[in-house]
Amino acid sequence: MVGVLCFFWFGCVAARLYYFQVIQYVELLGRAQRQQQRTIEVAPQRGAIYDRQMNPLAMSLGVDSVFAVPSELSEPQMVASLLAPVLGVDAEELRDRFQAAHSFCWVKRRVTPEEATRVRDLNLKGVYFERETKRFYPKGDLAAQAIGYVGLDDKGLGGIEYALDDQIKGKPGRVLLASDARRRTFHSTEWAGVPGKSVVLTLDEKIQYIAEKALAEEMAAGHAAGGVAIVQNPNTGEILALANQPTFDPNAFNSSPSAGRLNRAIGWVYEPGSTFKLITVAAALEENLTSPQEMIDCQGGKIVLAGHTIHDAEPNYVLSVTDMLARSSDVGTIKLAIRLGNERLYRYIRAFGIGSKTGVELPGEERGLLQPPSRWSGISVGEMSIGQEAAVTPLQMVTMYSSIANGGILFEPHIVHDVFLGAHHDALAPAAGHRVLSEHTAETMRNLLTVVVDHGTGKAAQLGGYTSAGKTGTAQKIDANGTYSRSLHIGSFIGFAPASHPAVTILVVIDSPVGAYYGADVAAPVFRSIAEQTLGYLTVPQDNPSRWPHIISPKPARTPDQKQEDFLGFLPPGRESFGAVTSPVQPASFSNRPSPDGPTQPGTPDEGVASSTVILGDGPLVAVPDFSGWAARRVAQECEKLGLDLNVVGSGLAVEQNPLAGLKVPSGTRIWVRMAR
Amino acid sequence: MATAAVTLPKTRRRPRNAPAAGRASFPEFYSVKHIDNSRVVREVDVERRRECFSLLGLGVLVFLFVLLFAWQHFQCVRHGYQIEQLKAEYATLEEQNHQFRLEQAALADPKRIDTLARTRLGMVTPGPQQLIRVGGPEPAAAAFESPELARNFSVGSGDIPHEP
Repeated sequence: MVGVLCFFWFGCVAARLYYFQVIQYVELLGRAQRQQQRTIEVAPQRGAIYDRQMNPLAMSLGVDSVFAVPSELSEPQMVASLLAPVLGVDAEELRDRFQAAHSFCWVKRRVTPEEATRVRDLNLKGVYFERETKRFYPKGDLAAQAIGYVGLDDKGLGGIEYALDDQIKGKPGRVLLASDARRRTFHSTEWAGVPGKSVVLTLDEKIQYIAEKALAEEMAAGHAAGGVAIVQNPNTGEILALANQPTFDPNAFNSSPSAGRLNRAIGWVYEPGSTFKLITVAAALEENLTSPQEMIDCQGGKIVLAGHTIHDAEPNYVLSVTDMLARSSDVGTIKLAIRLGNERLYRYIRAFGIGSKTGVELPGEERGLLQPPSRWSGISVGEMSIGQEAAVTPLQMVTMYSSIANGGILFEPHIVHDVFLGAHHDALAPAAGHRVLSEHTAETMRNLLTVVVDHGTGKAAQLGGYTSAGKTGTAQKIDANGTYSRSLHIGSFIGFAPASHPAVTILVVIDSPVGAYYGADVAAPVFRSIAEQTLGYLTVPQDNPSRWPHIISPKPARTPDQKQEDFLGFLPPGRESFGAVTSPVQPASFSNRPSPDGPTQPGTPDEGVASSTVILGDGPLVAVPDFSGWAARRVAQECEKLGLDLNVVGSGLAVEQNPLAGLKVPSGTRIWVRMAR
Repeated sequence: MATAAVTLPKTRRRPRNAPAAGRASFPEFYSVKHIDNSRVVREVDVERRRECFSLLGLGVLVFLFVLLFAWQHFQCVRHGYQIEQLKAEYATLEEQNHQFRLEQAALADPKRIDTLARTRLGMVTPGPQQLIRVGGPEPAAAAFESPELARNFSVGSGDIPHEP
């Protein structure tokens, strides 16, 4: 009997086992897997954004997001009232969300670690965490418009974050987790996603800070509506700083006014005013329609064009082209534009990149406003030549001035230096540029612009220790009636330094300043502040120690007559261009550097220059020898004999020195000599 | 010693060895005889023994395999927990590393350093005459001198930027 019972029992077990293991196998396995395993999507790590020195400007960190499964909540109202104070959300709203959803609803996304800990401590059934990434901008509002910001779903919404979103964002991965009854994971299988690529910008955070600080100070002092400062490497088109005012903190972009998010450097257009005269003068020089020495009758500062009278800011009579530009005479510039004619002027304006996008990697770039000659009125050629009837972006303008600074090549500006993931670097297009002016014209223009700073309207842009060149501009804004406003102006200054061998081109535009509004008053001092600090930071050798504030110069480097001669634009006999003579003291560097293009380099000192005398301090003066081609031992012996301090860099023969040979310096001055083989 | 017992038929049923009807019945004597076979040695069946041991060995082997399988399984689960724990630890450390890097970047904010330098240390922006170059031009400066050099310029100290 027992045997029969046992047999029956075993039979039942076997049958049940067969039912579970064979018949119900698939369904039960599925149910078990649903309970034990869960697949979660792993958000990809968004690539970081660095400045050119690899300082992080934007980084992503993993943070917890809290979500609930309303169907698992035993008492939704109580859960809502417990979570609300911890997470700082509205309890009523949370309750509504619990009632509206069945299987999933967010409680709060991207919570702080403290909030996550407090929610965990509550140990609420049906409340879970999901790992997400949050974007952080450790430098706050530094370069905010260029870097951009990301939204709640990790999608770039502005700046580089938006422009390169596809590359920075990456692709999500998946993880299959097997958990036990206590929800402890004991096995996981990963399908790795693709992390986002990191981006290296051409910006330098130090230069960016210098530019932003100088601009913000001017904005505060002048109560202006806005401002832009751009620092560019004229030799490559790289943007080193791009400062905007007003600005915003991308860490909390929602709480900032939308005006702060506008990247004025590319997304705002303005009438450039006198800074635009550069095109007219350069075009006239390039076409051999004038020369720096040509005298132009500025007619007392008044010209009638198509029935409209255009006035200079002050009466001007017969001026050289150099002087005309230095004094920013509208009449003289218009006369040159008339010589050029509509078509030719338009062609040069277009060649300088006005009216088309520069191609910088930032989103939202404007192309500006430029009508073709067929739509010009009788006055247009005059208006256009002095920077009216055309609207430009600040980036177009700084790029244009860079082309003068670098010898006539208009480089496409760019802000992305590298895009990489691990050791793999994306191939970026090399700096693209095309020649818009001959080297000779560009050099002439550099010197004309140097005169503007030395003797003209741009005196406020004179730098300590460096030569500089540039042009001021003041334009009336168009008011709501469509006429030029009498109270709203845009003051600007665009220039480069050192003038002889430019290392940086800087644009400063101040929108609607209160009180002083001339570019010379509001923008040139900002240029000076940015340029001095930037050149010092870049350790660019000083080329104009005569402008040191403490220097005692009992004997001027050049006589007033000579200065007047320079001012008028006359060239000394035997010179092809009046190159470096406009500056009283010649560059102390770049002097002996062999030029790949030929023996003559802008700023290369000649005999006249070498004999210039600058007296520093009251002590005994020593003439610095010309060390070029000397061995280090001989240089050291000579310096010891003269009582000069020596700093030798490199090995071989001397190829460069600072201060320049012939300069008279106090005994004990440190001489820097670069040796090369 | 032998014992004898006489048993008389008590039942009506004829015993199996009882004489058939019509025949005379005789009492039957059963005797118990003790046989001493202690000196008899049982012959070992080698074949059976081998079979037995083989079976036993197989059983042990199967048992060991089962044990090994179970051990492996539990070890696998145990290591699974350990691996997951280490993975979580790694992720936490990596996260911490990111956090430290973020903190470092925030601490190196030029605005913060500038403010500290001016307010706490009483520093000022140096004038052009106060700038002394140490060790000649930096690569950064050299890069800005001419387009040719600038195009070859690379960020940082190396040619290829890497994640710090």
